[in-house]
Amino acid sequence: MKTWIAEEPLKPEELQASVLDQGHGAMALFVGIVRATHEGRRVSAVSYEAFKPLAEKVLARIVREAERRFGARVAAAHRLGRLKVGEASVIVAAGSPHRGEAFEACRAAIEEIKARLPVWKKELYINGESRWLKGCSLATGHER
Amino acid sequence: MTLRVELYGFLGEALGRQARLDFARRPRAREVLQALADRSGEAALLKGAVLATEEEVLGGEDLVPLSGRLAALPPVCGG
Repeated sequence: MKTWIAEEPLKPEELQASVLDQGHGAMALFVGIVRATHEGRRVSAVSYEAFKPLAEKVLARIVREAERRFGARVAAAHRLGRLKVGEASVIVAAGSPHRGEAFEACRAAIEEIKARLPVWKKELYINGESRWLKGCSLATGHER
Repeated sequence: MTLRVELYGFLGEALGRQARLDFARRPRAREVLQALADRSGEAALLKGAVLATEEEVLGGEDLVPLSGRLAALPPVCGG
């Protein structure tokens, strides 16, 4: 298992390597990327911030849960700081004996990351404006 | 007692990255959030926010810990 939250650019090959196993016949990879437009507005960059000590623990919990639930090996990383259009903001890799578990573990982990990881995203637009995007409240009790 | 609370996301931008709050006794998490709302004058800003330690999100009735970092977290938006 491998997770990290960092300012440095993410490297998909590092996550892939960490879930490799000779018994695996499948690997799924999800890469979240900063897009050039959102809701009709032209994006120049996205800035991410986190409550890092808790985020590191929550990301590790999410990966452990996906591994247990699907019998897969899972790795995940989230980027912080200011990202340009086209840069990877989040990556999940999942390896398993067969493709079904790899796809499902990868999908489950990214959905939980979006709902539970204490990370916030601010979009910066070409016209100089910016806004924090709406999110999911942590008042649901997942991290208690 | 005086608590130092870190604020993240739009809360940090609207209310400042840190707040120092005074309480007559050890407060519960909901009381800390209420104090932030009272201080800001905009209760809607704290809608959906939670208080968290480095280990976990606190429930509203949880007493705040006496040591360690404490953070007010608005709804999350990673990915």
